[in-house]
Amino acid sequence: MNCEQVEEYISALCDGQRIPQVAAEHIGTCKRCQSELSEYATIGAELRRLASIDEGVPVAQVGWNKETVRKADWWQKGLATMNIPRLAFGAMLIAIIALSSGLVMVRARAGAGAARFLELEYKLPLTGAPAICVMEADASKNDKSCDFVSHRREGLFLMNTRVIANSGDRAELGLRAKYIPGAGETEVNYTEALFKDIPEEVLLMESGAKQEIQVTGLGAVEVEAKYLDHIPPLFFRPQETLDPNPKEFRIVAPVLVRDNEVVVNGGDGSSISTGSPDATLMLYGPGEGRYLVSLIPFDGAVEGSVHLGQITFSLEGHHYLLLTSMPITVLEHVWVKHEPDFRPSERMVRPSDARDDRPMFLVRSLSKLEEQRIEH
Amino acid sequence: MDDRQLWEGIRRKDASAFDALYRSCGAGLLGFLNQFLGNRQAAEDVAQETFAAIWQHPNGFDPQRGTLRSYVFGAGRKRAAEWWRRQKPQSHFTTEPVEGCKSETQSLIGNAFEKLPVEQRTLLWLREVEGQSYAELAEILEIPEGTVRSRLFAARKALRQIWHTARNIWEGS
Repeated sequence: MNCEQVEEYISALCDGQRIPQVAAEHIGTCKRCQSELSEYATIGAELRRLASIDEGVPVAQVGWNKETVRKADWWQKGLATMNIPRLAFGAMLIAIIALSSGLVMVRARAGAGAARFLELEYKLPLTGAPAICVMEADASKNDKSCDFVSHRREGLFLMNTRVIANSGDRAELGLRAKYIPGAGETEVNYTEALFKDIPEEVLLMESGAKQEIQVTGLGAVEVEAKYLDHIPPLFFRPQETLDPNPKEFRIVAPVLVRDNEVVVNGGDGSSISTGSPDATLMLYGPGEGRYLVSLIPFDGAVEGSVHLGQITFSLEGHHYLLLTSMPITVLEHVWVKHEPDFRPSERMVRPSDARDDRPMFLVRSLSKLEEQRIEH
Repeated sequence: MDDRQLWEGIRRKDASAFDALYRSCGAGLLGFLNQFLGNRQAAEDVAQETFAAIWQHPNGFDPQRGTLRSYVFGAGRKRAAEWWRRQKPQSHFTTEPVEGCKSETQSLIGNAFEKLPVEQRTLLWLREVEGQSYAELAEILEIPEGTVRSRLFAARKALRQIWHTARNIWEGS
Protein backbone atom coordinates (compact mmCIF):
# COMPACT_ATOMS: atom_id res chain seq x y z
CA MET A 1 0.00 0.00 0.00
CA ASN A 2 1.14 3.55 -0.59
CA CYS A 3 0.51 6.75 1.36
CA GLU A 4 -2.52 7.76 -0.68
CA GLN A 5 -4.18 4.41 -0.08
CA VAL A 6 -3.83 4.56 3.69
CA GLU A 7 -4.79 8.22 4.14
CA GLU A 8 -8.34 7.45 5.19
CA TYR A 9 -7.10 4.82 7.67
CA ILE A 10 -4.91 7.43 9.34
CA SER A 11 -8.01 9.46 9.96
CA ALA A 12 -9.82 6.37 11.21
CA LEU A 13 -6.98 5.66 13.65
CA CYS A 14 -7.57 9.08 15.19
CA ASP A 15 -11.14 8.02 15.83
CA GLY A 16 -10.16 4.88 17.67
CA GLN A 17 -11.05 2.59 14.80
CA ARG A 18 -9.29 -0.66 13.92
CA ILE A 19 -7.63 -0.65 10.47
CA PRO A 20 -6.39 -3.35 8.06
CA GLN A 21 -3.05 -4.94 8.87
CA VAL A 22 -1.30 -3.81 5.67
CA ALA A 23 -2.37 -0.23 6.30
CA ALA A 24 -1.15 -0.41 9.89
CA GLU A 25 2.21 -1.82 8.74
CA HIS A 26 2.64 0.97 6.18
CA ILE A 27 1.87 3.69 8.70
CA GLY A 28 4.33 2.13 11.14
CA THR A 29 7.17 2.42 8.65
CA CYS A 30 6.22 5.61 6.77
CA LYS A 31 7.44 8.86 8.28
CA ARG A 32 5.09 10.90 6.11
CA CYS A 33 2.06 8.99 7.29
CA GLN A 34 3.21 9.16 10.90
CA SER A 35 3.60 12.90 10.50
CA GLU A 36 0.06 13.07 9.16
CA LEU A 37 -1.22 11.04 12.10
CA SER A 38 0.57 13.33 14.46
CA GLU A 39 -0.90 16.40 12.82
CA TYR A 40 -4.41 14.96 12.97
CA ALA A 41 -3.90 14.33 16.66
CA THR A 42 -2.66 17.88 17.08
CA ILE A 43 -5.72 19.17 15.27
CA GLY A 44 -8.03 17.22 17.57
CA ALA A 45 -6.23 18.41 20.65
CA GLU A 46 -6.34 22.00 19.48
CA LEU A 47 -10.05 21.83 18.75
CA ARG A 48 -10.73 20.43 22.21
CA ARG A 49 -8.62 23.17 23.72
CA LEU A 50 -10.54 25.82 21.88
CA ALA A 51 -13.78 24.19 23.02
CA SER A 52 -12.55 24.25 26.59
CA ILE A 53 -12.03 27.99 26.31
CA ASP A 54 -15.46 28.36 24.88
CA GLU A 55 -16.98 26.39 27.73
CA GLY A 56 -15.76 29.15 30.04
CA VAL A 57 -18.72 31.16 28.82
CA PRO A 58 -21.54 30.18 31.15
CA VAL A 59 -24.53 28.45 29.66
CA ALA A 60 -27.77 30.13 30.53
CA GLN A 61 -29.44 28.51 33.50
CA VAL A 62 -32.95 27.54 32.76
CA GLY A 63 -35.57 26.33 35.19
CA TRP A 64 -37.57 23.35 34.05
CA ASN A 65 -40.09 23.28 36.83
CA LYS A 66 -43.33 21.54 36.16
CA GLU A 67 -45.94 24.22 36.01
CA THR A 68 -49.42 23.69 37.21
CA VAL A 69 -51.49 25.14 34.44
CA ARG A 70 -54.54 26.89 35.77
CA LYS A 71 -57.35 26.82 33.32
CA ALA A 72 -58.31 30.33 32.40
CA ASP A 73 -62.00 30.84 32.02
CA TRP A 74 -63.36 31.87 28.65
CA TRP A 75 -63.96 35.41 29.81
CA GLN A 76 -60.28 35.82 30.70
CA LYS A 77 -59.23 34.23 27.45
CA GLY A 78 -61.49 36.57 25.58
CA LEU A 79 -59.97 39.63 27.21
CA ALA A 80 -56.40 38.47 26.72
CA THR A 81 -54.37 39.75 23.78
CA MET A 82 -52.71 37.60 21.19
CA ASN A 83 -50.15 38.06 18.46
CA ILE A 84 -51.17 37.43 14.91
CA PRO A 85 -48.99 37.74 11.81
CA ARG A 86 -49.91 40.61 9.52
CA LEU A 87 -50.41 38.21 6.63
CA ALA A 88 -52.85 36.15 8.68
CA PHE A 89 -54.67 39.29 9.81
CA GLY A 90 -54.95 40.52 6.22
CA ALA A 91 -56.19 37.12 5.06
CA MET A 92 -58.75 37.15 7.86
CA LEU A 93 -60.04 40.58 6.81
CA ILE A 94 -60.30 39.47 3.19
CA ALA A 95 -62.14 36.32 4.24
CA ILE A 96 -64.59 38.31 6.38
CA ILE A 97 -65.28 40.76 3.57
CA ALA A 98 -65.68 37.98 1.03
CA LEU A 99 -68.00 35.97 3.26
CA SER A 100 -70.10 38.95 4.27
CA SER A 101 -70.41 40.17 0.70
CA GLY A 102 -71.37 36.63 -0.26
CA LEU A 103 -74.14 36.72 2.33
CA VAL A 104 -75.31 40.06 1.03
CA MET A 105 -75.34 38.63 -2.48
CA VAL A 106 -77.32 35.61 -1.34
CA ARG A 107 -79.79 37.81 0.52
CA ALA A 108 -80.05 40.17 -2.40
CA ARG A 109 -80.68 37.30 -4.77
CA ALA A 110 -83.25 35.74 -2.46
CA GLY A 111 -84.94 39.07 -1.99
CA ALA A 112 -84.91 39.83 -5.67
CA GLY A 113 -86.24 36.36 -6.39
CA ALA A 114 -89.08 36.73 -3.88
CA ALA A 115 -90.15 39.94 -5.55
CA ARG A 116 -90.19 38.42 -9.00
CA PHE A 117 -93.09 35.99 -9.00
CA LEU A 118 -96.30 35.66 -7.08
CA GLU A 119 -98.18 32.41 -6.94
CA LEU A 120 -101.92 32.85 -6.43
CA GLU A 121 -104.15 29.98 -5.46
CA TYR A 122 -107.90 30.33 -5.70
CA LYS A 123 -110.32 27.88 -4.11
CA LEU A 124 -113.79 28.07 -5.60
CA PRO A 125 -116.87 27.08 -3.64
CA LEU A 126 -118.24 25.23 -6.64
CA THR A 127 -115.57 22.55 -6.69
CA GLY A 128 -113.22 23.22 -3.79
CA ALA A 129 -110.41 22.37 -6.19
CA PRO A 130 -107.62 24.93 -6.32
CA ALA A 131 -106.82 26.92 -9.40
CA ILE A 132 -103.34 28.30 -9.53
CA CYS A 133 -101.64 30.95 -11.56
CA VAL A 134 -98.27 32.65 -11.33
CA MET A 135 -97.49 36.19 -12.34
CA GLU A 136 -94.69 38.66 -12.01
CA ALA A 137 -94.86 40.42 -8.66
CA ASP A 138 -93.30 43.64 -9.92
CA ALA A 139 -96.17 46.07 -10.45
CA SER A 140 -94.20 47.91 -13.11
CA LYS A 141 -93.98 44.85 -15.35
CA ASN A 142 -96.47 44.29 -18.13
CA ASP A 143 -97.18 40.70 -17.24
CA LYS A 144 -98.64 41.55 -13.86
CA SER A 145 -102.20 40.28 -14.16
CA CYS A 146 -103.71 36.87 -13.91
CA ASP A 147 -106.93 36.03 -15.67
CA PHE A 148 -108.84 33.04 -14.55
CA VAL A 149 -111.97 31.67 -16.17
CA SER A 150 -113.79 28.64 -14.93
CA HIS A 151 -116.32 27.05 -17.21
CA ARG A 152 -118.78 24.95 -15.32
CA ARG A 153 -122.14 23.62 -16.21
CA GLU A 154 -123.58 25.68 -13.37
CA GLY A 155 -122.14 28.90 -14.57
CA LEU A 156 -119.11 30.91 -15.65
CA PHE A 157 -116.62 32.29 -13.15
CA LEU A 158 -114.32 35.12 -14.17
CA MET A 159 -111.40 36.29 -12.10
CA ASN A 160 -108.80 38.94 -12.86
CA THR A 161 -105.98 39.73 -10.46
CA ARG A 162 -103.37 42.44 -10.84
CA VAL A 163 -100.50 43.65 -8.70
CA ILE A 164 -101.07 47.24 -7.63
CA ALA A 165 -97.98 47.52 -5.46
CA ASN A 166 -95.33 45.28 -4.03
CA SER A 167 -93.10 45.75 -1.01
CA GLY A 168 -90.89 43.00 0.36
CA ASP A 169 -93.13 40.04 1.04
CA ARG A 170 -96.36 42.04 0.93
CA ALA A 171 -98.41 42.73 -2.14
CA GLU A 172 -101.38 44.96 -2.80
CA LEU A 173 -103.63 43.08 -5.16
CA GLY A 174 -106.60 44.27 -7.15
CA LEU A 175 -109.16 41.52 -7.81
CA ARG A 176 -112.13 41.54 -10.09
CA ALA A 177 -114.41 38.51 -9.83
CA LYS A 178 -117.77 37.75 -11.36
CA TYR A 179 -120.00 34.72 -11.49
CA ILE A 180 -122.58 34.36 -14.25
CA PRO A 181 -125.03 31.55 -13.41
CA GLY A 182 -126.15 29.45 -16.33
CA ALA A 183 -123.41 30.75 -18.60
CA GLY A 184 -121.04 27.80 -18.35
CA GLU A 185 -121.03 27.27 -22.09
CA THR A 186 -120.59 30.95 -22.87
CA GLU A 187 -117.59 31.66 -25.03
CA VAL A 188 -115.23 34.14 -23.45
CA ASN A 189 -112.62 36.31 -25.08
CA TYR A 190 -109.64 36.95 -22.85
CA THR A 191 -109.52 40.69 -23.08
CA GLU A 192 -109.27 43.39 -20.46
CA ALA A 193 -112.66 44.61 -21.56
CA LEU A 194 -114.13 41.42 -20.17
CA PHE A 195 -113.42 42.66 -16.61
CA LYS A 196 -113.91 46.33 -17.21
CA ASP A 197 -117.35 46.59 -15.67
CA ILE A 198 -116.50 44.47 -12.62
CA PRO A 199 -115.64 46.50 -9.50
CA GLU A 200 -112.14 45.93 -8.19
CA GLU A 201 -111.57 44.73 -4.65
CA VAL A 202 -108.20 45.52 -3.08
CA LEU A 203 -106.45 42.99 -0.84
CA LEU A 204 -103.24 43.39 1.09
CA MET A 205 -101.66 39.98 0.93
CA GLU A 206 -98.67 38.67 2.83
CA SER A 207 -96.85 35.61 1.62
CA GLY A 208 -98.55 32.49 2.93
CA ALA A 209 -101.62 34.37 4.20
CA LYS A 210 -105.16 33.50 3.06
CA GLN A 211 -108.03 35.88 2.45
CA GLU A 212 -111.52 35.57 1.06
CA ILE A 213 -113.47 37.64 -1.36
CA GLN A 214 -117.22 37.44 -1.69
CA VAL A 215 -118.53 36.83 -5.19
CA THR A 216 -122.20 37.49 -5.79
CA GLY A 217 -124.11 34.32 -6.65
CA LEU A 218 -121.16 32.12 -5.87
CA GLY A 219 -119.99 32.74 -2.32
CA ALA A 220 -116.55 33.06 -0.76
CA VAL A 221 -113.48 32.47 -2.92
CA GLU A 222 -110.34 31.82 -0.91
CA VAL A 223 -107.19 33.47 -2.20
CA GLU A 224 -103.70 32.56 -1.04
CA ALA A 225 -100.54 34.32 -2.20
CA LYS A 226 -97.01 32.95 -2.08
CA TYR A 227 -93.79 34.51 -3.27
CA LEU A 228 -91.55 32.42 -5.48
CA ASP A 229 -87.81 33.00 -5.81
CA HIS A 230 -87.64 31.18 -9.14
CA ILE A 231 -89.45 31.05 -12.45
CA PRO A 232 -91.70 27.98 -12.36
CA PRO A 233 -91.58 25.71 -15.40
CA LEU A 234 -95.36 25.98 -15.78
CA PHE A 235 -97.19 29.07 -14.61
CA PHE A 236 -100.38 27.20 -13.80
CA ARG A 237 -98.56 24.38 -12.02
CA PRO A 238 -95.79 26.02 -9.97
CA GLN A 239 -94.71 22.83 -8.24
CA GLU A 240 -94.05 21.09 -11.55
CA THR A 241 -90.50 20.04 -12.29
CA LEU A 242 -88.85 20.14 -15.68
CA ASP A 243 -88.79 16.39 -16.13
CA PRO A 244 -92.18 14.87 -17.04
CA ASN A 245 -93.81 12.18 -14.94
CA PRO A 246 -94.05 8.73 -16.59
CA LYS A 247 -97.66 9.26 -17.65
CA GLU A 248 -97.40 12.90 -18.64
CA PHE A 249 -97.50 14.32 -22.13
CA ARG A 250 -96.60 17.99 -21.96
CA ILE A 251 -96.67 20.50 -24.73
CA VAL A 252 -95.51 24.01 -23.86
CA ALA A 253 -95.00 26.75 -26.45
CA PRO A 254 -94.73 24.43 -29.47
CA VAL A 255 -93.07 25.47 -32.70
CA LEU A 256 -93.16 23.22 -35.76
CA VAL A 257 -90.31 23.54 -38.25
CA ARG A 258 -90.46 21.91 -41.68
CA ASP A 259 -87.04 21.63 -43.23
CA ASN A 260 -85.75 25.11 -42.32
CA GLU A 261 -89.07 26.91 -42.19
CA VAL A 262 -91.37 27.57 -39.24
CA VAL A 263 -94.78 26.40 -40.28
CA VAL A 264 -96.71 26.66 -36.98
CA ASN A 265 -95.91 28.78 -33.93
CA GLY A 266 -98.30 27.78 -31.19
CA GLY A 267 -97.52 30.67 -28.86
CA ASP A 268 -96.55 30.54 -25.19
CA GLY A 269 -99.42 28.47 -23.83
CA SER A 270 -99.33 24.98 -22.45
CA SER A 271 -101.46 21.87 -22.62
CA ILE A 272 -100.80 18.79 -20.57
CA SER A 273 -102.19 15.30 -20.23
CA THR A 274 -101.36 13.64 -16.92
CA GLY A 275 -102.61 10.10 -17.41
CA SER A 276 -104.25 9.37 -20.74
CA PRO A 277 -102.40 6.47 -22.42
CA ASP A 278 -103.37 7.78 -25.86
CA ALA A 279 -102.60 11.41 -25.13
CA THR A 280 -102.27 13.30 -28.38
CA LEU A 281 -101.25 16.77 -29.42
CA MET A 282 -103.33 18.54 -31.98
CA LEU A 283 -101.37 21.39 -33.50
CA TYR A 284 -103.17 23.56 -36.02
CA GLY A 285 -101.70 26.24 -38.23
CA PRO A 286 -103.53 28.39 -40.79
CA GLY A 287 -102.99 26.90 -44.24
CA GLU A 288 -101.27 23.89 -42.72
CA GLY A 289 -104.17 21.94 -41.37
CA ARG A 290 -103.49 19.98 -38.23
CA TYR A 291 -100.77 17.65 -37.02
CA LEU A 292 -101.68 14.90 -34.60
CA VAL A 293 -98.78 13.73 -32.43
CA SER A 294 -99.78 10.74 -30.30
CA LEU A 295 -98.16 8.52 -27.71
CA ILE A 296 -99.64 5.47 -29.42
CA PRO A 297 -99.52 4.25 -33.04
CA PHE A 298 -102.63 4.88 -35.11
CA ASP A 299 -103.75 4.60 -38.72
CA GLY A 300 -101.82 6.69 -41.20
CA ALA A 301 -99.25 7.87 -38.62
CA VAL A 302 -95.47 7.75 -38.99
CA GLU A 303 -93.05 7.19 -36.18
CA GLY A 304 -91.16 10.12 -34.70
CA SER A 305 -88.32 10.31 -32.19
CA VAL A 306 -88.44 12.19 -28.93
CA HIS A 307 -85.45 13.81 -27.26
CA LEU A 308 -86.16 16.12 -24.34
CA GLY A 309 -88.15 19.01 -25.80
CA GLN A 310 -87.77 17.96 -29.43
CA ILE A 311 -89.65 15.58 -31.70
CA THR A 312 -88.27 14.77 -35.14
CA PHE A 313 -90.07 12.97 -37.89
CA SER A 314 -90.18 12.68 -41.67
CA LEU A 315 -93.43 13.12 -43.49
CA GLU A 316 -94.38 13.61 -47.11
CA GLY A 317 -90.74 13.94 -48.11
CA HIS A 318 -89.99 16.63 -45.56
CA HIS A 319 -88.03 16.63 -42.36
CA TYR A 320 -89.94 18.02 -39.40
CA LEU A 321 -88.78 19.29 -36.04
CA LEU A 322 -91.28 20.01 -33.28
CA LEU A 323 -89.72 22.18 -30.58
CA THR A 324 -91.22 22.78 -27.15
CA SER A 325 -89.87 24.71 -24.18
CA MET A 326 -89.60 21.71 -21.87
CA PRO A 327 -89.24 17.92 -22.02
CA ILE A 328 -92.32 16.32 -23.56
CA THR A 329 -92.51 12.73 -22.38
CA VAL A 330 -90.38 9.98 -20.95
CA LEU A 331 -91.21 7.85 -24.01
CA GLU A 332 -88.73 7.73 -26.88
CA HIS A 333 -91.20 7.52 -29.76
CA VAL A 334 -94.45 9.15 -30.86
CA TRP A 335 -96.63 8.75 -33.93
CA VAL A 336 -97.46 11.65 -36.20
CA LYS A 337 -100.12 12.25 -38.82
CA HIS A 338 -100.71 15.31 -40.96
CA GLU A 339 -104.25 16.29 -41.94
CA PRO A 340 -103.84 19.29 -44.27
CA ASP A 341 -107.57 19.67 -44.84
CA PHE A 342 -108.48 20.09 -41.18
CA ARG A 343 -110.39 23.29 -40.40
CA PRO A 344 -111.23 24.21 -36.80
CA SER A 345 -114.35 25.98 -37.91
CA GLU A 346 -115.68 22.66 -39.16
CA ARG A 347 -114.75 20.45 -36.21
CA MET A 348 -114.31 22.48 -33.01
CA VAL A 349 -117.43 22.96 -30.88
CA ARG A 350 -116.25 25.88 -28.76
CA PRO A 351 -116.35 29.06 -30.79
CA SER A 352 -113.06 30.36 -29.41
CA ASP A 353 -111.35 27.28 -30.83
CA ALA A 354 -113.28 27.29 -34.09
CA ARG A 355 -111.15 29.92 -35.81
CA ASP A 356 -109.20 29.02 -38.89
CA ASP A 357 -107.10 32.18 -38.92
CA ARG A 358 -104.88 31.59 -35.92
CA PRO A 359 -102.64 28.79 -34.60
CA MET A 360 -104.04 26.59 -31.91
CA PHE A 361 -102.94 23.54 -30.00
CA LEU A 362 -104.26 21.28 -27.28
CA VAL A 363 -103.56 17.86 -25.81
CA ARG A 364 -106.43 15.45 -25.45
CA SER A 365 -107.02 11.74 -25.95
CA LEU A 366 -106.66 10.51 -29.51
CA SER A 367 -110.21 9.18 -29.57
CA LYS A 368 -111.60 12.60 -28.63
CA LEU A 369 -109.53 14.41 -31.23
CA GLU A 370 -110.68 11.99 -33.93
CA GLU A 371 -114.32 12.70 -33.23
CA GLN A 372 -116.11 14.58 -35.89
CA ARG A 373 -117.16 17.27 -33.42
CA ILE A 374 -114.41 17.99 -30.95
CA GLU A 375 -115.65 19.22 -27.65
CA HIS A 376 -113.31 19.96 -24.76
CA MET B 1 -29.83 6.88 35.49
CA ASP B 2 -29.61 5.47 31.98
CA ASP B 3 -31.09 7.03 28.85
CA ARG B 4 -34.32 5.08 29.06
CA GLN B 5 -34.97 6.08 32.69
CA LEU B 6 -34.03 9.68 31.95
CA TRP B 7 -36.39 9.78 29.01
CA GLU B 8 -39.26 8.26 30.96
CA GLY B 9 -38.74 10.94 33.60
CA ILE B 10 -38.86 13.66 30.96
CA ARG B 11 -42.02 12.17 29.52
CA ARG B 12 -43.56 12.35 32.99
CA LYS B 13 -42.58 16.05 33.09
CA ASP B 14 -40.07 15.36 35.84
CA ALA B 15 -38.08 18.60 36.02
CA SER B 16 -35.12 16.95 37.71
CA ALA B 17 -34.79 14.44 34.88
CA PHE B 18 -34.88 17.18 32.32
CA ASP B 19 -32.40 19.23 34.31
CA ALA B 20 -30.03 16.26 34.26
CA LEU B 21 -30.34 16.06 30.49
CA TYR B 22 -29.73 19.78 30.15
CA ARG B 23 -26.65 19.66 32.33
CA SER B 24 -25.19 16.69 30.47
CA CYS B 25 -25.90 17.92 26.93
CA GLY B 26 -26.49 21.67 27.18
CA ALA B 27 -22.94 22.91 26.93
CA GLY B 28 -21.98 20.39 24.26
CA LEU B 29 -25.02 21.21 22.16
CA LEU B 30 -24.30 24.91 22.50
CA GLY B 31 -20.70 24.45 21.35
CA PHE B 32 -21.82 22.32 18.42
CA LEU B 33 -24.49 24.81 17.41
CA ASN B 34 -21.98 27.64 17.77
CA GLN B 35 -19.84 25.90 15.17
CA PHE B 36 -22.81 25.07 13.01
CA LEU B 37 -24.33 28.54 13.08
CA GLY B 38 -21.20 30.64 13.57
CA ASN B 39 -23.04 32.88 15.96
CA ARG B 40 -23.16 32.56 19.73
CA GLN B 41 -26.52 34.27 20.20
CA ALA B 42 -28.17 32.24 17.48
CA ALA B 43 -26.64 29.09 18.96
CA GLU B 44 -28.09 29.90 22.37
CA ASP B 45 -31.50 30.56 20.83
CA VAL B 46 -31.52 27.33 18.86
CA ALA B 47 -30.27 25.33 21.84
CA GLN B 48 -33.01 26.86 23.95
CA GLU B 49 -35.61 26.03 21.29
CA THR B 50 -34.32 22.49 21.06
CA PHE B 51 -34.59 21.83 24.77
CA ALA B 52 -37.94 23.61 25.00
CA ALA B 53 -39.32 21.45 22.20
CA ILE B 54 -38.11 18.28 23.90
CA TRP B 55 -39.64 19.43 27.20
CA GLN B 56 -43.00 20.30 25.63
CA HIS B 57 -43.25 17.34 23.25
CA PRO B 58 -41.05 14.49 24.49
CA ASN B 59 -42.01 11.95 21.89
CA GLY B 60 -39.18 11.50 19.38
CA PHE B 61 -36.52 9.47 21.16
CA ASP B 62 -36.16 5.74 20.48
CA PRO B 63 -33.57 4.04 22.71
CA GLN B 64 -33.23 1.28 20.13
CA ARG B 65 -31.83 3.70 17.59
CA GLY B 66 -29.17 5.49 19.60
CA THR B 67 -28.26 7.44 22.69
CA LEU B 68 -30.26 10.27 24.17
CA ARG B 69 -27.28 12.55 23.67
CA SER B 70 -27.16 11.86 19.93
CA TYR B 71 -30.91 12.36 19.78
CA VAL B 72 -30.55 15.80 21.38
CA PHE B 73 -27.71 16.75 19.04
CA GLY B 74 -29.69 15.49 16.06
CA ALA B 75 -32.70 17.56 17.12
CA GLY B 76 -30.42 20.57 17.56
CA ARG B 77 -28.89 20.05 14.12
CA LYS B 78 -32.31 20.00 12.49
CA ARG B 79 -33.35 23.17 14.26
CA ALA B 80 -30.08 24.80 13.28
CA ALA B 81 -30.70 23.79 9.67
CA GLU B 82 -34.13 25.42 9.90
CA TRP B 83 -32.48 28.52 11.35
CA TRP B 84 -30.19 28.67 8.32
CA ARG B 85 -33.12 28.38 5.96
CA ARG B 86 -34.87 31.26 7.70
CA GLN B 87 -31.87 33.53 7.31
CA LYS B 88 -31.73 35.96 4.41
CA PRO B 89 -28.56 35.74 2.32
CA GLN B 90 -27.35 39.16 3.46
CA SER B 91 -27.68 38.27 7.11
CA HIS B 92 -25.09 35.52 6.93
CA PHE B 93 -23.14 35.55 10.18
CA THR B 94 -19.40 35.31 10.21
CA THR B 95 -17.78 33.05 12.73
CA GLU B 96 -16.85 34.91 15.82
CA PRO B 97 -13.18 34.67 16.77
CA VAL B 98 -12.47 32.46 19.71
CA GLU B 99 -10.77 34.38 22.46
CA GLY B 100 -7.90 32.91 24.44
CA CYS B 101 -4.18 32.48 24.66
CA LYS B 102 -2.89 31.26 21.31
CA SER B 103 0.49 30.07 20.20
CA GLU B 104 1.26 30.45 16.52
CA THR B 105 0.48 26.80 15.71
CA GLN B 106 -2.63 26.76 17.76
CA SER B 107 -4.06 29.97 16.33
CA LEU B 108 -3.32 28.76 12.79
CA ILE B 109 -5.28 25.57 13.39
CA GLY B 110 -8.13 27.58 14.89
CA ASN B 111 -8.20 29.94 11.94
CA ALA B 112 -8.02 27.05 9.47
CA PHE B 113 -10.89 25.35 11.27
CA GLU B 114 -13.03 28.46 10.88
CA LYS B 115 -12.39 28.42 7.15
CA LEU B 116 -13.83 24.93 6.71
CA PRO B 117 -17.29 24.51 5.22
CA VAL B 118 -19.92 24.36 7.94
CA GLU B 119 -20.66 20.68 7.34
CA GLN B 120 -17.02 19.66 7.79
CA ARG B 121 -16.60 22.01 10.73
CA THR B 122 -19.55 20.62 12.64
CA LEU B 123 -18.63 17.04 11.85
CA LEU B 124 -15.11 17.51 13.13
CA TRP B 125 -16.40 19.33 16.17
CA LEU B 126 -18.82 16.58 17.06
CA ARG B 127 -16.12 13.96 16.67
CA GLU B 128 -13.12 15.67 18.20
CA VAL B 129 -14.73 17.80 20.85
CA GLU B 130 -17.92 16.00 21.73
CA GLY B 131 -16.40 12.58 21.19
CA GLN B 132 -19.41 11.28 19.30
CA SER B 133 -18.94 7.77 17.90
CA TYR B 134 -19.45 6.92 14.26
CA ALA B 135 -22.82 5.42 15.12
CA GLU B 136 -23.90 8.54 16.95
CA LEU B 137 -22.67 10.80 14.18
CA ALA B 138 -24.57 8.67 11.68
CA GLU B 139 -27.76 9.18 13.70
CA ILE B 140 -27.23 12.89 14.27
CA LEU B 141 -26.38 13.66 10.65
CA GLU B 142 -28.65 10.97 9.22
CA ILE B 143 -25.95 9.44 7.05
CA PRO B 144 -24.42 5.90 6.92
CA GLU B 145 -21.48 5.12 9.21
CA GLY B 146 -19.19 4.51 6.24
CA THR B 147 -19.96 7.99 5.02
CA VAL B 148 -19.11 9.34 8.47
CA ARG B 149 -15.61 7.88 8.20
CA SER B 150 -14.96 9.18 4.70
CA ARG B 151 -16.34 12.62 5.53
CA LEU B 152 -14.22 12.85 8.65
CA PHE B 153 -11.16 12.02 6.61
CA ALA B 154 -12.09 14.65 4.03
CA ALA B 155 -12.61 17.23 6.76
CA ARG B 156 -9.29 16.50 8.43
CA LYS B 157 -7.49 16.57 5.11
CA ALA B 158 -9.06 19.89 4.17
CA LEU B 159 -8.23 21.39 7.54
CA ARG B 160 -4.67 20.14 7.32
CA GLN B 161 -4.20 21.65 3.87
CA ILE B 162 -5.54 25.04 4.99
CA TRP B 163 -3.38 24.89 8.03
CA HIS B 164 -0.23 24.07 5.97
CA THR B 165 -0.96 26.84 3.52
CA ALA B 166 -1.37 29.34 6.35
CA ARG B 167 1.78 28.09 8.02
CA ASN B 168 3.81 28.46 4.80
CA ILE B 169 2.54 32.02 4.42
CA TRP B 170 3.34 32.71 8.08
CA GLU B 171 6.85 31.29 7.78
CA GLY B 172 7.46 33.12 4.50
CA SER B 173 6.57 36.44 6.06
